[in-house]
Amino acid sequence: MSAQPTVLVVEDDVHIAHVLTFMLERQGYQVTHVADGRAASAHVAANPAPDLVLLDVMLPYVDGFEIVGQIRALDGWKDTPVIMLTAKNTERDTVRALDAGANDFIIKPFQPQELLARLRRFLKTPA
Amino acid sequence: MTASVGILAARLGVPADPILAAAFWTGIAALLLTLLLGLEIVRLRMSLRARQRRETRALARWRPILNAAIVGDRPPQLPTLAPAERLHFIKLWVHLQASLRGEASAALNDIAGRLGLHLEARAMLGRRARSERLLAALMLGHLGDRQAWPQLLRLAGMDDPTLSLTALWALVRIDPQAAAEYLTPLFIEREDWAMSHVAGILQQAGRPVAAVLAGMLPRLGAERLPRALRIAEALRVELPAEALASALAASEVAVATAALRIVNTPLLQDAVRARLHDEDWQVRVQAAKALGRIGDRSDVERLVALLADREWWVRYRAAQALVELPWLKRPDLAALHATLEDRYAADMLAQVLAEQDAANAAPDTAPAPETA
Amino acid sequence: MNTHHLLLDFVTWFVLCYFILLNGGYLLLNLLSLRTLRRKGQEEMLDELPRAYSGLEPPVSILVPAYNEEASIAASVRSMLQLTYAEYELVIVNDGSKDGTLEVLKREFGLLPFPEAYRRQIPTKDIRAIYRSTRSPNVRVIDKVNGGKADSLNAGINAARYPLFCGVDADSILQRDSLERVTQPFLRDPSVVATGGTIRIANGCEVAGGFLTKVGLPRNPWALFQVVEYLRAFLFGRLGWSAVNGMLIISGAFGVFRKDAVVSVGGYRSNTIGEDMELIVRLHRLLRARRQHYRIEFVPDPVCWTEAPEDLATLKNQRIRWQRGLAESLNANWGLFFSRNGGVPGWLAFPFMLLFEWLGPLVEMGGYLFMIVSFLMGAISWQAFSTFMFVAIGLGILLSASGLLLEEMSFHIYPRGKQLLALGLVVVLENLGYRQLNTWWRLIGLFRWATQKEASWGAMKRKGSLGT
Repeated sequence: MSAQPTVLVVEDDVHIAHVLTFMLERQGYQVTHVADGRAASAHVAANPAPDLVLLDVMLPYVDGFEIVGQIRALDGWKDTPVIMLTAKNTERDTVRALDAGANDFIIKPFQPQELLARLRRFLKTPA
Repeated sequence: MTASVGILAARLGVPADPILAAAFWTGIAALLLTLLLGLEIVRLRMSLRARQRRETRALARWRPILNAAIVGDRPPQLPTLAPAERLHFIKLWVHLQASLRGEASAALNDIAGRLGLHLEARAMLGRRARSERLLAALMLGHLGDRQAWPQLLRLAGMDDPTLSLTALWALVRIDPQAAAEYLTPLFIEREDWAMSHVAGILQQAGRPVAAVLAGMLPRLGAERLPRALRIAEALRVELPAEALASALAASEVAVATAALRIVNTPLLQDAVRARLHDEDWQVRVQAAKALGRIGDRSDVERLVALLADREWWVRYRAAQALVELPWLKRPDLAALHATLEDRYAADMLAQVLAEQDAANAAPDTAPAPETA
Repeated sequence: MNTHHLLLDFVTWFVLCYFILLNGGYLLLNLLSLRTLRRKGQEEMLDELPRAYSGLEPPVSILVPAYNEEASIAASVRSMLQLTYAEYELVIVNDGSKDGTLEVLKREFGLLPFPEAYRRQIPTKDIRAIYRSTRSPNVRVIDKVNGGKADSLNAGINAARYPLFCGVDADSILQRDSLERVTQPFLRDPSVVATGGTIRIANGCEVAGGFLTKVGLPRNPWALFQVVEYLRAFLFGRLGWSAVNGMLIISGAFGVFRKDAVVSVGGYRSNTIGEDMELIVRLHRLLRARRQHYRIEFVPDPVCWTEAPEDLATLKNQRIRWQRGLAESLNANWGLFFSRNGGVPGWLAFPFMLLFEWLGPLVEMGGYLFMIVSFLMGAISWQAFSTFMFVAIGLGILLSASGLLLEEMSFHIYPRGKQLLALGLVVVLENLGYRQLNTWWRLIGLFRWATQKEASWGAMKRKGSLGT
């Protein structure tokens, strides 16, 4: 069991993905990045659960809500905290995120420090 | 001289007949043009490749620096930004700004300032290349550069809709209050700008715009009023009841429907009821919807009467309004359905009840579709 | 003797002029499209920025007529559910399919019958039932008696709830932002009544989950020829017409319309083969006659991909069908031709279509035959014959090359240099037989239309790429 908490980042926007990866690695987390819904589904099905999943809603091929559903249906992943990044700032999407099984949501445009704080709530800080 | 040209022509095989000769030269011209086009295609592809390579290099160089700034590590030293890298940098910068806010946004502004990009952006506004002007407007908006205000104002007045709307967005970001006073009358005037763009821009300045609108409403004529009311609706601003009352009673259909769409206070119940039996079906539709929002128990009868309206949409909205009334539970509605004599009314209530059942069964509920 | 020569000269001259005018006309259209393309290229940068929906984009009803599509319908519908658009609904019209299309839909989307009050704004064949999906709240299925594609679309229009509707083919492969892009003109200009999207060839491209993942060139020569043909004739030509508001065709594979405008002209016509073109020509005719201010625009972005026929027989049937559709559409709307308020559609576009597309195959094929026969009989000289071939083919190559140039200027979707070279080769080869073969097929189509023969539809052998 590694000392570094692992985070799965599912984000199709290449620039935001870089920012997220950078931010998280700097905090000492081990980051796996997946760029679209299909790859995310495949990854979820074939790998052990990370300590946290950071998931964008608008993804190519399979949207974020479906991925959360898949995550909640798997034994190993059932209790993994999932934070969703919602781009549309309508009430409908945030409610949908929580209903789908996400633990928390962050609305884009987001504040990096706020994101990290929300993450820390669900993760043990690295030794 | 002409003799030698003649011999040359004959050697080349140019036909003697003038029609054929003309055709021949047309063919030659086509051939040459094709070759030119081919060369141009190759040139375009090569410059595309070069552009892509430059972009990758620029991003690889600047991305770590921007990322560091975003997380709070202010880089003490910044490398110089090469002119070839400038546009790629600005593109990345604007993209990041559009997805971030708060301290990260401020950090990005700080870097842009240190690189002198606020000056560069102001210069870009005046250039002829449209893409540069667009990028510059976006950048100056994020930077909040007050000095660029007059230039942006000029851009906003141009015919090109993308350019002017982007400039307007920047103006609102720089100074929402001043922008609201200038923009609200402008948006009411320019009917040709799509509501979605207008709303997207004005969203930043919700409160100042509401104040300006409330002040303007009494003075607006019937042609401008609908648009002003639609803007109020798009921005979800609450207009004072007195301002709406006269609009609700207006004879022009466009004004009445726009006012009915946003009425949200029980104070105006009577004004809404007065429009329930208007000649125009669009007014009746909106009145039914409005009554669903603000009506009281006495309005159940009125809505039931509308279930038998001759227009499909009026029946549909009346049924929806009934179903959404908080004090009418499912058994009450079923009982109501049983008492309906009119076949169209019964059909419509049944459909809307079935829609509600379907929506309640599905975990992610979507509201019933709306039309104009 | 003399009149004999005069006649020969006249015909030669006429044929040459025609070919020059034909290609010149299309070159002019390509030139007209340049301005729009240049503007698009600059706006490309803005598309990449993350967009926040304000929720006020006009809602769209997507109509999907489906007949015997059990192999691919589920994947198509799922891909359409992924479109990035604020608010839209999917109305799938099962046109009395004989296979398991309805069963597949019921199973995959949890359909339940829905007591919906259906409004007959446009007369259609009987509706058997309306279903709504329990899993995706914005999906509805209309099951009706078989009546053809136009009839299905009309039924979809009757059931559509939103002010705009989008007609797609069940096998159209879209991109996530296709709907956004093709509705842009409606946002910019409230007088727009219809927009059409560009159709590109999906053969040779990688398709996953109903979406295009990687662009590639087909290996099949017929498909390759069609790639260049689409660039030459169906892409920038239409953009040119759109620039002057004279566009007479919007492909049924992907187009967005204002519902009330279409209902006001009577919906799609059900007894015609080219119902997509016929609707547009009728819109022009009636809206012009009513002196209504309107625009019909073309969106050049690659938004819709379709599989082109890869075998001779299917391709031939398709082209014969297209020519018949063209003839029927023009024939049903003579009122537009040189009409008083006809504007560009009535005075430029319609005559152009008439002269170069409808009559075109006759003159072109006639021209080729005349030249070949005359040369073989010794009536015209080798010079005349070779000049003619030189001009005809040379201009054709120029036109195809201009299509490729515009593609490279604007969207340059083929990333590898080798692909560009291959296309360059095809540009030349296309004019050395494929284009002429096309003309022959169109001539057959014209003949069949003229004699009103009932041609069979010709089922296209599908590769099933949507199922992967």
